[in-house]
Amino acid sequence: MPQTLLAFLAMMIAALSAINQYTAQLQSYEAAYRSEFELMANAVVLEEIEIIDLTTSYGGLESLNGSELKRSFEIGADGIEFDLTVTVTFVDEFGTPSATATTQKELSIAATHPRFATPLVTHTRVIAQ
Amino acid sequence: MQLLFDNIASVLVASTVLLVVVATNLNAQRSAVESSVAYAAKTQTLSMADYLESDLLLVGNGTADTIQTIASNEADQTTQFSFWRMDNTGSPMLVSYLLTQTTSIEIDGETVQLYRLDRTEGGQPAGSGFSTLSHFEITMLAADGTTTADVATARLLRVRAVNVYPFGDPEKMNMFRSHWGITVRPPSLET
Repeated sequence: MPQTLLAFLAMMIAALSAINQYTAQLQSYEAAYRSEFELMANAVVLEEIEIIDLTTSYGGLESLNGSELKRSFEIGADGIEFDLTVTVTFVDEFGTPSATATTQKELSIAATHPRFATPLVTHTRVIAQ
Repeated sequence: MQLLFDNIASVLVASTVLLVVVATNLNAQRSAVESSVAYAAKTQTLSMADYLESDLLLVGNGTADTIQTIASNEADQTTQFSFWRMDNTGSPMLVSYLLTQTTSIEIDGETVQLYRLDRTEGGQPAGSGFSTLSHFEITMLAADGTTTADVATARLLRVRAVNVYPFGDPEKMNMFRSHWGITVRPPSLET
């Protein structure tokens, strides 16, 4: 009986150790995978900020608040699509959101992907009047 | 032998435990190698990214001309991107990025063509030299984000690159692909 218990214990320890290692490996893969998506989302968001900055007047920025866009990171014929959410708020000279109109607005774009629960990247740019 | 048969249950348990421990250790080693490879690939890609970003922002800086040549191959990869900028002495200098096909590697039946990215200043090699790219593309964009072939309407430069980092034995090779992209807005393209 003691031998059986010891054998069972040895197998349990070996199994737990294996499960632990596989879990760590999965987490490592997941982190590397997310890191790749973050770099791609970063490129897409920064491009969208430049385009909005170039094409939208200061007065027209507010109309973009809350808008949702789909933009792809394309490599040749392949592409990964990201969901972008645009937020525009008035900010004061310290960059703090202001409930009243000021002379500068903060354009913020967050990128998400269905594969990940939380936003991959968020970039902001303050645009003065 | 008799001893082994007498204790067959113990032998089976010990063998199982040993196999699990060995497999776990091998797996842990492989995982550590893969993490190191991913980190190395990412570091190399970001090093190239820093270089390219700061260089492309200087397109047309202090010179009358901006982008001189942008050429692509059949796979939409940019094989040559040349632009003018001012050098340290205040004279115009032609900077070129040249993509050259190098070797190809076969991984899981898939052939991956590799390219080397060279940078020249006035025709002389200067910096860069990344040799594990599987994709490199510079696209000119108009203000609204649409692609344009006309330098006069270009306001943004979009760069897309994939750096491949092969590892493992030649018979059983793996690779890590590191993707990178950015869109820069050189001030000189707006005037």
